[in-house]
Amino acid sequence: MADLTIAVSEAVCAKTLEVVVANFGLDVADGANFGGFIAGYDGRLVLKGGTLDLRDDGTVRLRELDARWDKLDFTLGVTMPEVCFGGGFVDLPLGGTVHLPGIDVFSGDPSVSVTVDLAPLVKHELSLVASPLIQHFDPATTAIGKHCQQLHTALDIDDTKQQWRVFCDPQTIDLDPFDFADTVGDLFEQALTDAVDALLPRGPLHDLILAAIGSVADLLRTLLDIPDDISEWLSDLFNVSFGVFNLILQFVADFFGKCVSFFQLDDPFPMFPKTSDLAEVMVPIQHLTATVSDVELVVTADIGAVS
Amino acid sequence: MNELRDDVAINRALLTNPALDSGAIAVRGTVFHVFREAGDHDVTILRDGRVTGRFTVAVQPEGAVPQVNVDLAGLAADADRSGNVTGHYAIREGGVMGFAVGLGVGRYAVVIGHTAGGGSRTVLDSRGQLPAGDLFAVTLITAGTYRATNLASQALLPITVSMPGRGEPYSPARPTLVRAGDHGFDPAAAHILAGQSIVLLAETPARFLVAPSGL
Repeated sequence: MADLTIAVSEAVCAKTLEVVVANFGLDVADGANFGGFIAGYDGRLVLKGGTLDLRDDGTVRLRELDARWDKLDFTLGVTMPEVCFGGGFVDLPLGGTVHLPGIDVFSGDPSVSVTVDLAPLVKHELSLVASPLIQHFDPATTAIGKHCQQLHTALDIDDTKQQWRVFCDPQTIDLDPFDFADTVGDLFEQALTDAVDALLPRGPLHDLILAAIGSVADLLRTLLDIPDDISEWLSDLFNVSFGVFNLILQFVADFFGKCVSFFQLDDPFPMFPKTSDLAEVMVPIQHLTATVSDVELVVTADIGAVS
Repeated sequence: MNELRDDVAINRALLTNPALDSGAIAVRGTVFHVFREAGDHDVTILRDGRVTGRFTVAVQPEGAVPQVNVDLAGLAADADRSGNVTGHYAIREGGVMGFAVGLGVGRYAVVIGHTAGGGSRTVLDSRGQLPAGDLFAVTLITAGTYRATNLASQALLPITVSMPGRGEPYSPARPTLVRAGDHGFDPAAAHILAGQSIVLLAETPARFLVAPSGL
């Protein structure tokens, strides 16, 4: 029989979840050149809400967490293809061909970029099933990332002491991938179309350039290699090309499984505090276990030799 | 919601519609000289009467390219202080060199001398008349009516420039050749789409001026 048994109710676990969720924040930024265009994003993902269930199969289930973006600035830049007038070949009456040089409309770097804040237009729902994971923390040997250190400070987790820590290690994470509505695609296409259109000179030359390139919308679809649905293209860009989806999954796994513990127990444990006439009594904690039932998280441990 | 950044310069010469003169080569006007004789040719580029570039063209019976196009504004920028342009040009006998201006408001002239037997003979001075066989190409951007004049014969060529129809196939790279001989222009009128070129072939020595009808 264990020397020490601590039961943590589902309500306490849920309260802990509230604090943990309130301190969740993922800052992401990246950019890439895709040949015909450049794209980049800069965002901060936060969690809101959610419920916690302790289950009799020994797992903890976090449900209906809203993953929302505080900001999600998405920048798309295109370089205009060469547009020129004149040019071509003319055959001479006595034989031979003359090549006419074309006249370039643009010089320099004919590029345009648009930044759209997609934060209000995208949201995900996050659920995960986790198992308790016990780890012994030793400040002398256990490395903690800077982000985790900041969280620990916010959550009053003491990184100066040796501790046993109980994490909710995600076994499965269910996250909605990026799925932009058609209206988002339309909005973005219009913003970029307006920007490219503004690049063109006004007057008859404007109409002539449009005649040469077809239309700005056609040009953009060619440059961005968009088949039909720009919102689907945008979703793929985030989910696959940038890999933001996997980035979030990895962060969530690390956040719950390695960074933020739901329960900490100092080791050695201060059994009796120091008094005016007695020294503090510290007992080492050994053989920690954590089990989950449908009503509580039960942590058991043995007390080692008292020093 | 969105922010616009553009780092682009429009070729401003396309926004104006001045007369185009084979004697003062500018953006939208190109003189093509046909090198009929083998041997070295000294080419001098002038802008407003001042030499801005000099180079030599070796015309070879065979083994060289049939055409080279040079950007006179670009050459002027690359020339050293005495106007010499590094680089060697070789063209096949009977080949063509095109003298165009890519950017800017400069007006240029080209003088070509054929060096042979210790002397030099001018085969082209674009400030005067283009020799028979040379060409002047103009690209017309603004829709409207124009008039090409061969100042050597006072022959006139009316040119109509239309905007391309909405949704119709359009390629600017479709030049139209017009011959300029003793009996005027052939065909007697030309019709192109805006952004396309008219190529005037001098069958006799000619000086071409192409201007909007109102000018």
